Amino acid sequence: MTREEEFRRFTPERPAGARGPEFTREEREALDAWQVPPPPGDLAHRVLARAGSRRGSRVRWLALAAGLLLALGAAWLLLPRQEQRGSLVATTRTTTRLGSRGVAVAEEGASLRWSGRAGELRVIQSQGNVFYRVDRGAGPFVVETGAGSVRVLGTCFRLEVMEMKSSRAGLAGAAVGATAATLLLVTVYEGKVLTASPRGELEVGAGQVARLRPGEAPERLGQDRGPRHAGGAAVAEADSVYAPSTTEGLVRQNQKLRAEKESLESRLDVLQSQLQQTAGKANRGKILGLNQDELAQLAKRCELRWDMPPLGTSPPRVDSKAAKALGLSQTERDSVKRVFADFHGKLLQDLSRLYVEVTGDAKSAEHLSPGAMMSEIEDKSPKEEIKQVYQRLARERAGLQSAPADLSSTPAVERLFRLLTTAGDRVEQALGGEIGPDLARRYREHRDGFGSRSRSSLGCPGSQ
Amino acid sequence: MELDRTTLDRARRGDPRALTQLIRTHGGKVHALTCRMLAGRSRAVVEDVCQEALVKVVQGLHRFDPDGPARLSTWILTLATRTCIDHLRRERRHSEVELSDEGIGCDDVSPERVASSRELARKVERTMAALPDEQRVVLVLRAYHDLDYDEIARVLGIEIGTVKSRLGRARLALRQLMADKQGAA
Repeated sequence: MTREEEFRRFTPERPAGARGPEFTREEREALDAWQVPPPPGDLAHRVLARAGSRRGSRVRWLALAAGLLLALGAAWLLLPRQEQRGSLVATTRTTTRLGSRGVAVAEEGASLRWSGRAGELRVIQSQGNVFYRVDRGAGPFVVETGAGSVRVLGTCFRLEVMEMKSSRAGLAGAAVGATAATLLLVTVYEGKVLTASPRGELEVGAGQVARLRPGEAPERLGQDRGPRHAGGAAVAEADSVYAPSTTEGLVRQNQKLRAEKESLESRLDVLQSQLQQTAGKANRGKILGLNQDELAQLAKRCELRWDMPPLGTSPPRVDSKAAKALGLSQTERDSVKRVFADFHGKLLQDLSRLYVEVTGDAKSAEHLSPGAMMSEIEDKSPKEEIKQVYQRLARERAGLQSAPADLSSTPAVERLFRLLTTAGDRVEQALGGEIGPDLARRYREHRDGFGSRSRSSLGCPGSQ
Repeated sequence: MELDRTTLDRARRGDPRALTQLIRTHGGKVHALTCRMLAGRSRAVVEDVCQEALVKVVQGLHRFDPDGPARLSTWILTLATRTCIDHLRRERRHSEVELSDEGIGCDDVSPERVASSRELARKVERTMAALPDEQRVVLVLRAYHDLDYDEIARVLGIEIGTVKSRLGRARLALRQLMADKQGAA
């Protein structure tokens, strides 16, 4: 029994004229004309396989979820025992994660190393300028420098560790560190930190700047520094060296501008990340203008995207909206029409040849629509072979492999997809010869492809 | 054609042969419904949605009550209709669906009826594809699947009056098409 006979046997449609009484004779005529093809002969097999695989996949998901829970449990048990370590000497601006709570942006020349267990971390910043963002957490997060330490309670701050001249260090009288005395500037943008040195502690809040110098208690800049520092030659010189100005207003302005700069940079990072995500979403359906990275991503998924003028039983029509939008003259519209008609005729010939090669049925090739022939060729090819074809073509497009020298020895379904996936480019080229390359491109781009856009969705060989 | 009670009971218990019989009995209708509701979409999309609908039928069959008020065929068409509507909604949400401007999906008619009705068929399909989804759905259920107004209202969860008005507008489009055809002849 043929597929058509089987279809008629099992799904008798209502005879013409037997539809609801409200339909007129003309309406019935129109409704009767709109026939649809029979379903694929192996529909039941496909449905049951798909239903079965869903059951299977549900079981797999449950197993996966259970495994994941176990893994998470194990990780939770093990995490506190696992020490996190790392080090960084920044040769350029470098962002790095510090354990599970922190991010550091180290400027060129900065050097730091860190260690700790989950929730708590000890960072040693030996030199340079580092911006930190630390989320609130259970354990302490401490940054140590030659000039003192900073204990964090959920905040954003910057530490600038600078070497002091040895004479200044000597004057300061407390060389902390192995080779040179250091000075630490702490700028807090959000939250607060507790700075500490052997001489004392100081809490520094958002918008405040503190300075730690060897042998001295931490001090807040931009505040009344009091008599402790008055007259101290080394302090005065350090001020003139390390602070932009002795004027407190300028210091405050400087810190404010730095804070704003950091805030804007953070915002920029967020926006860039959002932009990438948005672009990623927009590219999911993109056909034209895919860049190398996008093509490589598609190749990784064995995905092909292509466009061509709609392929029906008659030549494609000129897209009147595109023609109007591009201001095509009647002559140009006629040219588009002619190119489409040529494309249609040629593609039908190629398609018929492939169809006859696959089925040996030359008679049907004269009557069948392009869609039916394509489906038949695909149906006669194992699904796995089609996946391999998608994979090969996607890799070729991404420049990861070259096309075979002799295409005639490739499977018919591969030649079919080569034909289809290059159709858009061929039409654009032919169109360019008629109305100019620029206009041809714009016509094609008007709706991101010539009318009919397709995307393969079988996945890679071996996938479900 | 309805499935006999014994086969239906076996199918509800998950017997593969009975399920195969059920799909052979009702699969054609579901496929035809999908083709028409998704007029203008590619064949791959139509077949995917058709399979999706039948998978739902297979997986939900144990919930169907053979002694309840609904016929099996109506229950299956309800599931298929909702699957198509879900797909149409998804399409509206996402623009990257495969679209085929001239309906290469379901215009590949059998060779024996190629000649005279092909042109009209294409026009009808184009007209149907251009109809708002909700009007096309009502027309397809009424004209091709023998559902009365009450059944269509229940399937779509709308009032009978809405069914009538949507059907009326769809018929108007059909009449306009035929009037144009006669005018051109």
